[in-house]
Amino acid sequence: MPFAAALRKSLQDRGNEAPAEFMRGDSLEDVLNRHLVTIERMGGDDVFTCILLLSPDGKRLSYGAAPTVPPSYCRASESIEIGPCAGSCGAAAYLGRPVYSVDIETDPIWGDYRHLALLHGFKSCWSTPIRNSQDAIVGTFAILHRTVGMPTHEEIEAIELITNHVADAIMWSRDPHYFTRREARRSEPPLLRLVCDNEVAHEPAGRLEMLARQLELKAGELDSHAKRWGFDPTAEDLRTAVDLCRKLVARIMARIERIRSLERGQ
Amino acid sequence: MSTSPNERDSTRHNGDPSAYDIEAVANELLGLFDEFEAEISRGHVPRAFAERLAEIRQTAEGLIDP
Repeated sequence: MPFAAALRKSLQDRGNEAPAEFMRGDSLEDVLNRHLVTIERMGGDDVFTCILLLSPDGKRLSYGAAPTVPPSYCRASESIEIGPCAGSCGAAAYLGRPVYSVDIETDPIWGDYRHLALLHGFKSCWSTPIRNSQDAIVGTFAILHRTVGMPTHEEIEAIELITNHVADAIMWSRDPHYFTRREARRSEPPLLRLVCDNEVAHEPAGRLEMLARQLELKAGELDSHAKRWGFDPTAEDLRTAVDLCRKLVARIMARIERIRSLERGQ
Repeated sequence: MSTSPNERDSTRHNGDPSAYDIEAVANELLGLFDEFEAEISRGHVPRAFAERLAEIRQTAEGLIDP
């Protein structure tokens, strides 16, 4: 059976078992650990998985599950303030998008956490936000490796599948009626969706702020590459990209200030 | 969800570019980085990256220095 199909089948089986596990009193960590062990068995020797949960105020990540990651690593990263330089998970939660750190040793997003990761032999980390059915981030799912590298297209699809199943388990643990409510919301008339779209469309400052953060992060990454390459002529293209990112960020911040002034009636 | 040209224009003020225009350029730039991320991280900047960057830069300059 191809990897994606086998993974889908295994996760579906796990998803079917999870409600009974919760009902007999198993903790969220127990249930998530079983999900992760299933994934790691299928992924091979160099796959270490980890789930962090986002605090209700959306500012910090805390330990959720990590069946094979050394306890010393889990303890040290027990409570992480999300941010653009808070490792792959902290950045993924902060930016609201997957962050694939190809080489932890050189990736600027690892900031103060780099030494800890390298000390435990981790060389790359791919982290993806876990979202509930209302698209709110509830945590992050990460795959750590002892080798450097990017995920393949198939692996990215697998990660998406995994985060959906993990999200279901997390939400079920918080609300045993979650599946019933989710199905009810799906059958609601599209008018509600239009209202949501309308609200988003009228909040350009929030969207611009998110874009500025993403551009800042990219500028940092590209700058780091450019510095590493020194006088290589192609590094000049990266420096141009960094310069453009930073000018755009400045323009965006000015625009945000202007929008906020208008909102305050100034 | 699309915005009509009139709606877009209504957000312009004294030559200040609209949030819509800035957002479009920023998204285009981020899309470019995503597309070439793997190659750049391997130490290679493809010619196509430089060419598309130049195009985006040209559009962006009108917004950065209106």
